[in-house]
Formats: sequence, C-alpha cells, structure tokens
Amino acid sequence: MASRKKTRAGTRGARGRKAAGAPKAAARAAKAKPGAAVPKAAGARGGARKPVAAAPAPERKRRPAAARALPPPPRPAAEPDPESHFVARVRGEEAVREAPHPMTEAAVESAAAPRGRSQPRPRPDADDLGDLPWGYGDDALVALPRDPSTLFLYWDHAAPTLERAWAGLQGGRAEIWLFARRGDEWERVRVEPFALEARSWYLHDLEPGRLYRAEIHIADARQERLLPRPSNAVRLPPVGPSALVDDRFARIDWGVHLARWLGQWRAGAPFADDLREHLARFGDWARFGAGAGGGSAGGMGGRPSSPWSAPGSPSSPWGGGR
Amino acid sequence: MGDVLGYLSLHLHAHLPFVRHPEHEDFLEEDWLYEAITETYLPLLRVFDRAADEGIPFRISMTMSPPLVAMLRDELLMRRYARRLDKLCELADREVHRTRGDPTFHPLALHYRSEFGDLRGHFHDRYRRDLVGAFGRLEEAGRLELVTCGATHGFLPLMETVPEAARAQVAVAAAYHRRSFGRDPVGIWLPECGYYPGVDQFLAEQNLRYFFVDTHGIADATPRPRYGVYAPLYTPTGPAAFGRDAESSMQVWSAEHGYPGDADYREFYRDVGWDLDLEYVRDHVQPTGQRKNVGIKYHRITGKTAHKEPYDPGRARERAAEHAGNFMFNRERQIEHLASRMGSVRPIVVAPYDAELYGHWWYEGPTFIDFLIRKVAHDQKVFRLATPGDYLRENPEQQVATPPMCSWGAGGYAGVWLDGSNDWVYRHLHKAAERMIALARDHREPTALQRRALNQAARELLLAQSSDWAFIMKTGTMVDYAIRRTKEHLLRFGRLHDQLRAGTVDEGWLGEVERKDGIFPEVDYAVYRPV
Repeated sequence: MASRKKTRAGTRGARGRKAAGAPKAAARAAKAKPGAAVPKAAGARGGARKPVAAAPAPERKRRPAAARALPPPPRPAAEPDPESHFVARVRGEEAVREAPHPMTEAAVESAAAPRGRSQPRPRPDADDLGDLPWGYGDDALVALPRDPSTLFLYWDHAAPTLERAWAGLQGGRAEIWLFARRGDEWERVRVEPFALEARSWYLHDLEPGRLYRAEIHIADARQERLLPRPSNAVRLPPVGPSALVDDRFARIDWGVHLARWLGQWRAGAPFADDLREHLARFGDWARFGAGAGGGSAGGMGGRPSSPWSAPGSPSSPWGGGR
Repeated sequence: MGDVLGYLSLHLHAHLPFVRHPEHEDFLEEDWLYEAITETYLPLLRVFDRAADEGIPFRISMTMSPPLVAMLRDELLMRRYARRLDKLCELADREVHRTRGDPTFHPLALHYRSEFGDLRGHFHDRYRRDLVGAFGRLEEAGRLELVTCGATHGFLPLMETVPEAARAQVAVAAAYHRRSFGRDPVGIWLPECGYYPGVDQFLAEQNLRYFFVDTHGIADATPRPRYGVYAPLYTPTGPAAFGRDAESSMQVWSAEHGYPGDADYREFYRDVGWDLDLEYVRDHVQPTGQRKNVGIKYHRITGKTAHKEPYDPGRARERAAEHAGNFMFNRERQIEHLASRMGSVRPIVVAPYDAELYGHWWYEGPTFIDFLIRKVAHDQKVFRLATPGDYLRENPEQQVATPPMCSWGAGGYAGVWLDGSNDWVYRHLHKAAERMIALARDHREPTALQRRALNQAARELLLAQSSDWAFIMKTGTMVDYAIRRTKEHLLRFGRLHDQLRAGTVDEGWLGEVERKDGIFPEVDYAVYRPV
C-alpha cells in the first residue's frame, strides 16, 4: 500500500522525557576516556596518547548569587552537548550520531543506561501553563506538502461530528479519498482505509506536480458519509526540468519598488535546447551522487560527497586544481 | 562591471534561534550565542574590518537573522557574553601556566591566550559590544550587503495554508531590519531556503529584491530556465531567485572531501573541556558537571581514527591559503567555461553557507575567507565578488519563472521539518495562526492593555514558529528544549488569546511574559490582518 502509518501525532510532543538522574553525570564524567587526555610531550605526535596531564586543582570561585536570579531550571542531569545543534546544522544528522561525545538525547541516555536511570524530573513550568490541548474540535482536515510524492494530512473533529458520522453504521470504516486535479475536474485517485484515531497520515507515492485535495469518509457496506470538511488544495512540487519552454524576460530596474511594479514581459530570443541542458547539467546535484537538496539543516551531512570537487582534484571539469 | 567574465556571490547565513533566559542566571542554550560570537561573528568581523581598512575591494552578502540581531542587541546577553569571554581568557591564562615547559602545547596555549585577548579587545574597544552596529558599518562602507530572514526563521512552505502567517514572518523581519540597521533590507534569506509559489508576493510587498533557493529550485522551475543556476529568475511578482551552485557549495560543505576536513585543520571534537581533569575545567562545563567543549582545542584532524596529533596554527593557516587559492582557481575555470557558453550573459556562481560553519566548525574558515577575498582582488581577473544586489543592479533583465516548493534541507523539500518526530506541532501552530488572524481582525481599536496583549500574542506565535525547534526534534539533539520552547510559546499565546477574548488581560502576568519573550519590541499585531 502506498501509505504507512506515521508516529502517533502528539505523542512525541507530550511524552515525558526520559531524564537521566544525577548519578549519570558522575558516570559521564567517570567515562572520560583516558585516551582523551592532552598529550604532554612532543613525542606524542606520532604515538599513542598519554594519560591526562595532572592539572592543578583550581580554587573554586564562588560567584555571588545575583539578587533576583532564580535557581537553575530543573533540567535533566545529563544533556546532549549543547554544540549538537550547531553540528546538526552545519554537518547534518549523521554527524551528530557519529560524534565521539553524546550529541543526541538517545546517545546520552544509552551512555548512562548501564547505571540505570533516575525518575524523570518535572519540567519547569513557571507560568503554570498546563499542556497543549489534544485537539480543537473544529472539524478541520489540513493537507501539507512534504515532498514531491508525499502529502501529510492532519484532522480534528468535534465529538458530535463524529457521533453523527458513525450513527447507524454497521461495521463502518474510515477512508481517505484523495482527489487530483485534471483540467477543470477533480478525479479521485485513491481510497485508503485508515484509523481515524491516528489523527494524521502520510500519503506516499503520489504524482509530483499535481494539485491534490483530500476528504475523509465514513462508510459501511450500504452508505458513506463525508466528514466535514474537505481539505485545502495542495500542489506537490514538480521534479525535473519543466516541459514548458517559454523564455520570457523582464527588466526590473533597481530603483523600481516591487510593490508598485507591474509585470511587463517580452519574449526572449530563441534559445538552443542543447545549451539549456548543458547548463542544467552543471547545476545538477545528481552528479555529486545524490538527489536534490542538501546544505544546511542536515542536508549535507547525509549527502555523498563529490568525487571531483575535492581540493586539488585533478578531475575537475574546469581543468583541475592547483 | 569592467571586463570580468562573471561573478562569484559568497553568502553567509548567520542565524541562531532566540535563546534568551533572563529568568535564569545560567542557561545552557545561551551557549549557542556565546560560542558563535567568539568563534564566528567576531572572527568574521575582524577579517572584514581588516580587509576594509586595507582597501581590499570585496563584496559579500550576509544574512543577519532577526533573532540573532535581537540577541546581539540585548544588553543582558552581551553582559553575560562579556563575562563568558572573561572566563575563557582566564582559562587560557591557566593553560599557559599549566603547559609551561611543554614545547608542543605551550605555544598553542599562548596562541589561545593571544587570540581570546584580541577578540576581547575587539569586542570591547573596537565594537563597544555592538556587533550589529559593526556589521552595519561594513554595509555602509560598501563591503557587506545585509539581508534579513524570516522574523523567527519560520519555515514558510508549511504556512501556505495560513498565508497571513507567512506574510507576518516577512513583514516583521523587514521592519526589524530597518530599525536595527537604519536601512531597507534589499533581500531575504528564506528560512531553510524554503520557498513555495506565491510567497514571493509577500517579499514584493516589502521590496525585497531577491532570495536564495537550492539548486533544484531553479533547475525545476517553470518555465524551464535558460541558464540553470548561473542566472537568477524573476518570480512572477518580481523578487529574483538565486540558485545555489552545487560545486562551490560542495567544496566547502562536503564532510568527506570538503576543505574543512583537511588533516591539518583543527579537530572540532578534541577540546580541553573533554580532555582535562574535570575539576580543572568545572567552571567551564555544564553546571551539572557534564563535560562540553569550551573552545580550547589542541589537536588537528589528522585522519579518520581517534588518534590526533597536535595542532599547528601556522600549518593550518598555510592550508587555508592553499584552499582559498584552489577555490578561486576552480571558480575561474568554472566561470570561464560558463561565460563561453552563455554569450552576452555573464554568469553568477552563488555560494551560500551557514555563517557558523566558518569559525565554529571550521576554525580556519574565517582565515580562508580572508585569503579568498584578497586573492580574488589581486590574483585574478576572471570574476569579481558581487552580491545578488550588485548583480541585479547591473543585470536588470532576467528570465521570469516560478520555482517549485523547495528547501535546502535533506531531501530538498519539507521532510526535515515535517516527519514523525515533529509533525504534531503543525495543528497547534496553524490553529494559533488562525486565532491570531482573528484577533487582529476583531481588534481594530484596542485599549493600551489589549494592544500590549495582542502584540505579545504575535511575539509568542512568531517564536513558536521557529524552524529550529522542528529541526532539533528531527535531529534528536536538544529535543527536550525544543519541545518545551514550542509548547511554552503556544501555551502563552493560547492564554493571551483566551484573556483577550474574555476581556480580562492579566497585566502582571503579561508584563512577566513581555520580559521573558521580549523579541521585537515594536511589533504591531495588525500585521496579521487577513490577506
């Protein structure tokens, strides 16, 4: 089937953190590898690292407490290295998972697991804000584009709405009806049974570039009922070069304020398709061994590296490095 | 333009989520700011100012995200940073003492003492603790082109169903940039390079002339682009989309073959915060006693094994110079080739990076940039450094096309910010946005107290929308914090909403929340009025 059940919505956000207790900090400190010591002698350059240099125990400086400062928030004793966010950003998810120090919460917890875990501590809640509502009961079905072939749906219905929908049905089931736009019509392209209690759903393997909307129906062998409301329409992004070749150019002088600017296109000159494709190839991530995307936000970390853009690579298409 | 064949556009995206916790004396996540100042922002400023002082004709564009600007302008955070820098200098002094007589590490300890002392001098004496002003002066001097970002780095493609929310992210950011730098931003870094068709109209409203997309944002645009990523596209409402060049990005970003992985460069993970006796570094690690990096690192990358050799700053500097030369050489050949194919159109190679990559991860990154801008100015005549604004001023005629929804995250779309780890946030974010729009619609003439509550509701919604929270949940790093921040802002928003609807705003609590989440003091909730 094209879809798979997602992680139950809301549960991750509402979960209690598996906090590590104070003993874990000591465990972490005790786990400091002997090999992590600073070598003392120049001879360490080519050899094994030496035990930690005996650093003088400094006199602890007591900082006077600020008059209005609150005590530190009751945090778990062991946190991932705060730099983990930077590393994830600039080096990607893989980098934080492969780091020598625990950089994910899972790594912190597993590092301390042999010594056991303490009970989770309550989270700071100075405002006594409570928790987010489970739902809003506003009979909504919302569609979001995730990628060229995946649509995400979440929904929320008032209890009376659901009662009416299920009333009188025998062995009824919930179905997602997915429609795609073709010309001026919406055509139904998929009917997918699902668990209404899931509260959200991913629809996979859709056709890129099309406009979709979804509906939730409750049905049995004799009838079906539409749950209000149909979703918003969402266009999934297209993939690959557009089939539309229409070179229109515009001149927008720098001094023109865009809010007041009126588009005035003019047709471009004929342009050779082979040249267009040639230029597109040089901008194509695929030649680096991966698909589109990448960069910050974890993209680059999982991206296979270029075989020829390495420093000094002699196989550079521009003639090699120096 | 002179007789060069094309342009290289180097863009640095500087951003941190808003991490300010006045309610606590020490707060772990504020480290993000302090580390980035010491390792990235001050070193970059020093490089730019030195080059500017020497008359080097460079042009670089740079994002100054609103949350980052807000934190850099915050007196409390700058006071705390000054204290942090003092502690780092103290540690460097102790390291000089500790390593005395050690021919390998003593020079390194001296290096750090000198470096931190110099940074402290720049922070206090040259910049007077005002880094925003320092970046602004570089723009006034014609060296930098500063652009804004989403107000709180909200990922716009997932706001398409509530366009007022996307518009507010753009409008609040542009207004804050004007207040902070005294001039209009000419461009914007869409958070995570997240574009969707139609968002360009909100950019046009603010006269934001350009933004960046990842390579496929141009390659897959409709109609098909003539020149690939080597020329921008005008979106239907006018802002230009500049596409990232894959090769120049890869030469820096690649974990395996990119420059930062060179064996002579400083090893990120080997830090005295992990290496030395815990008691010795206790004042510099986490309050719980858990170790962390403190910023003094004595080893170089060496190789892929755990064995690390001592770091040699001189050798690393030579490598940075070589890599800058290699980068420039490759751009020369690339631009020559492209220019030979593109006729009268001069190609632009766009190379955007997270600013924090330079210095924080790649310690020698600012040195690389230093060498690069000098070499480009003196050692070649094929291209010149130009900002997207420069390019558009000189080349106002461009193709019109619409990029697809896209981002620069893993996979290229919304998958990083919408997966099983974080998708639960959207029903709450969307509901809060809908309520904010309704509040703005229904409160045309609020009382002074209502106005304060409405503006604070806008702040809470904006803060909840930061893409950093969903990203952290996805990567599994500081998940607890990200969940808490998302919930706290949404819950504060919800309470403000309920109080406004009930006509019973709790002024005392409102004041407390304003103090905690005081970003964008001049925000006007009316920005949420329906599109």
